[in-house]
Amino acid sequence: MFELGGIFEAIGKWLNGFLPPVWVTIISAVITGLAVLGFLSLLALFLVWWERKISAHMQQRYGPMRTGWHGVLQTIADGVKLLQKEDLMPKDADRIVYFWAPIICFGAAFMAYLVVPFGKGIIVQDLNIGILYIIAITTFTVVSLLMAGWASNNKWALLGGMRSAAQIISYEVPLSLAIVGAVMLAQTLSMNGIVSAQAGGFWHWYVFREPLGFLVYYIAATAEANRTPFDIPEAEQELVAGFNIEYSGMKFAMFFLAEFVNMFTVSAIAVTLFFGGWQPLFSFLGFIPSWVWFMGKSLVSVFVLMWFRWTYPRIRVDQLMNFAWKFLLPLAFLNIILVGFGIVVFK
Amino acid sequence: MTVKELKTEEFMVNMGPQHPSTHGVCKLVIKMDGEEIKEITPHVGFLHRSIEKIGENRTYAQFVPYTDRIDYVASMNANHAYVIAAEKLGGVEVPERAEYLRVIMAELNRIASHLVWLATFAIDLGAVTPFLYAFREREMILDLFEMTCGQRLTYNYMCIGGVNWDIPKEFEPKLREFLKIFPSRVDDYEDLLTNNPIFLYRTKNIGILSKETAFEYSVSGPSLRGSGVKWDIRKAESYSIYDRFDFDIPVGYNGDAWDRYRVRMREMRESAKIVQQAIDGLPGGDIQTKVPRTWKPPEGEVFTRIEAPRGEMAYHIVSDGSTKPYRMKIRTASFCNLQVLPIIGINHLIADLVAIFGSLDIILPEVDR
Amino acid sequence: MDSEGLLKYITEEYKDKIIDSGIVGGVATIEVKPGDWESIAEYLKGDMETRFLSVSNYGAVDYREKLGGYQLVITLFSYEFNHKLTMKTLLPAEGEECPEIKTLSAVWPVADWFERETAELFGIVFVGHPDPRHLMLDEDWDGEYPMRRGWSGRDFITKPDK
Repeated sequence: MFELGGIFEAIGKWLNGFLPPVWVTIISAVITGLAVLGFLSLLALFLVWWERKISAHMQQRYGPMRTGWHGVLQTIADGVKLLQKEDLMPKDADRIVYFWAPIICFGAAFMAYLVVPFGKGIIVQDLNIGILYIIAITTFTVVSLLMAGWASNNKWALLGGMRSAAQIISYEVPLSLAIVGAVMLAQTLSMNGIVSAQAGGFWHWYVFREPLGFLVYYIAATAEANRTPFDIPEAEQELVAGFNIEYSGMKFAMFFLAEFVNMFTVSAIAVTLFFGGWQPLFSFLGFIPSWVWFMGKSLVSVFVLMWFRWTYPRIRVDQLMNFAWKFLLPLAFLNIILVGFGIVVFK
Repeated sequence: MTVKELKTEEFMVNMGPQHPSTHGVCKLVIKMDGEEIKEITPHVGFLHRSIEKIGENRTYAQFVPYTDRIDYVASMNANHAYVIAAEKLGGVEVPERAEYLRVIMAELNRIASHLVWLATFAIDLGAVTPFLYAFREREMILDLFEMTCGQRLTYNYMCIGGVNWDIPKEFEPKLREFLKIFPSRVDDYEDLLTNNPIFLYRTKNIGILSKETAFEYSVSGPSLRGSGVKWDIRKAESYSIYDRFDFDIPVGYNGDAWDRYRVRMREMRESAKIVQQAIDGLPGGDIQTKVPRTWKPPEGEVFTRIEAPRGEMAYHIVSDGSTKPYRMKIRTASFCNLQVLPIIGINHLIADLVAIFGSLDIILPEVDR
Repeated sequence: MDSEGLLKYITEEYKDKIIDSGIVGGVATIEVKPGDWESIAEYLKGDMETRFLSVSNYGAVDYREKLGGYQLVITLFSYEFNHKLTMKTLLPAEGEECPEIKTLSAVWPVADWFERETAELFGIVFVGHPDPRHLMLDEDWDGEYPMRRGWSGRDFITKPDK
């Protein structure tokens, strides 16, 4: 009844009646894509507000209270303000690179959702190499941050860009290796395939099959999303604002929203790979729509990421590298070995 | 091509005067090799108001409000340093009750000042939440000050010969309530930071200030005690009535940022102990010895110093027997403490510099005066 | 040592170099000739009986009207013995003259900033100072010494043109 996946199917069927199949595929992909885009934009707005409220309540404040009920419209007000801001560009900036950096950052953040299964049948394209695609596309973020840092012609921004390059490239390795465990268990790279492999109750979720893999993934993902304690490319106390120091107006807003979308991306992948995606906790709870399960799980994960941010101090850049290469990477390998053993022994 | 053949280039970066972690308007010109700091040159003076010159053009009583502006985070202590010097110059006796009130206010302000330091230090390391926790307790202290003297930042509370206002009757219960909950609140901060592994990574063995360097640069206050020197002017010279109270001088061992943090955290507890003893022993009586508006101290010179939250604050006043000082030299703790930054800050990363700067607890109006 | 004992010890040890001595406001005070300024400072720091490792205060007083010069005042103290000593010297100067004296920054590194401040505010030249830039004032500030008596900031207020 409330399964949204059915709507897309119905549209597909209706279109099939009078159009050749190629067109149907294209049109339904476009419709789903637009729906996801619109939904994510709203979600990012919500997440900004949510983070402000969570941080406020953790710090014995109220946070935004004036615009709408408990300040829900605050982000929209901020967005309108940012739209009206002058779009400044430093005099000696590399104009083309400076212009494209936020767009690539924003685009890469959204493109990851092409293969994320939001619910049963709600997926833009179920690529058979879905997870590989995600690893590839999220790496684009580092390119955009490096572009922003370089093009701003500002030493602080450059330091921020360099830091982000070093950080994301380092954490990409344990992150990918942590994903390998889930892929080994599911025997597929398709996102939908991984979700269906975890069907039938929470004890089938991979977080219980390979907790180590989840741990490595989650830590690396926090770094990937540039969240505290790994937010060194921004580090407002050290680099003032890092790579986005010179950006203003809508360009800044794009970086800002991309950060929140990225945070949701890593949570969504964590849920897909380790928490059964849109599968319910118990099969008798299946009457709750699958997209509710997916969103609920993802938002819990987002909440944990926010919790990290408002609790921990920031780690230093060299300690961050040491942690990635000397601790997380061996752990990720160990996880693969353990999963391999498990598969051999239990099957 | 090997790594050694790759050419690297050192570059200069201006940190400040509008950088968020320089705690005011300090400009550090840093020579960096990648992220490693090779040389630091502090540029101060952005807040130079020449308070010493102002002192020569104001009467002794008129100058008290200016002392608030020397160290606006610990105005009570700044007041205290000045009035003690002026009273010693003129031989003014201070009533017992006023001495007690001064100690209560000075120690409360020390706690408030350390709370501000804790808040900003945590923020420098990227932990935002302790900031608001610390400000919650600071708010209670500011409320106490507000009900006594009507101000929340620059108090102008002490005057030559005593204090300007007596405490209202709701002060004591409020203060006792604060003293009751404060130790548990300090435990809260320690839970958030002290043994947090990331916090330890960021502060242990960072910015080690050796005893010898501390002596050479006359570092004072908690920054000195962090290096393991048991030196506190409240004990060593026991000005005012500090000899009547029982308190410890916390010291560190290595002189790193973590030791300075620990010293300040324990100092807050010690200050709360002093306030407790002072409020318990608060005598009745006058709060002020009347000193005429155009007070003329005898000709002479005086040098006094006190232990302000950031260290030694000293006044050297020369009087020529007129209503205005002939010369007033103010020695502040931050002025000397900031000088060690180029020594202990090099060969660290930029993130460490922020931590070191925060751990030294520099306040720029005190440097520039 | 208390102030009296300290003063007695120092006056006996360096009696040919001390012009005047006494206890001012509870602090042992000696006055030396400008030429002995640096050498006495070195002795006081190295002397195992005094061990003045640190500087508490260091500044100048403009006594041109009364004594015909600037008085440099340095207050030393010892963590070890918990005693203080004020050392003074009078630098003869008249009018806008800038007197010269040897720097103490080699003896106590902390004197570096104290001397930079005194140099720019009083116009005293510290010979051999490692870093004689302005500390508080602007880099292009020149020829005016604000802490000299008689200098007034009012000269520097420029009123907007009508």
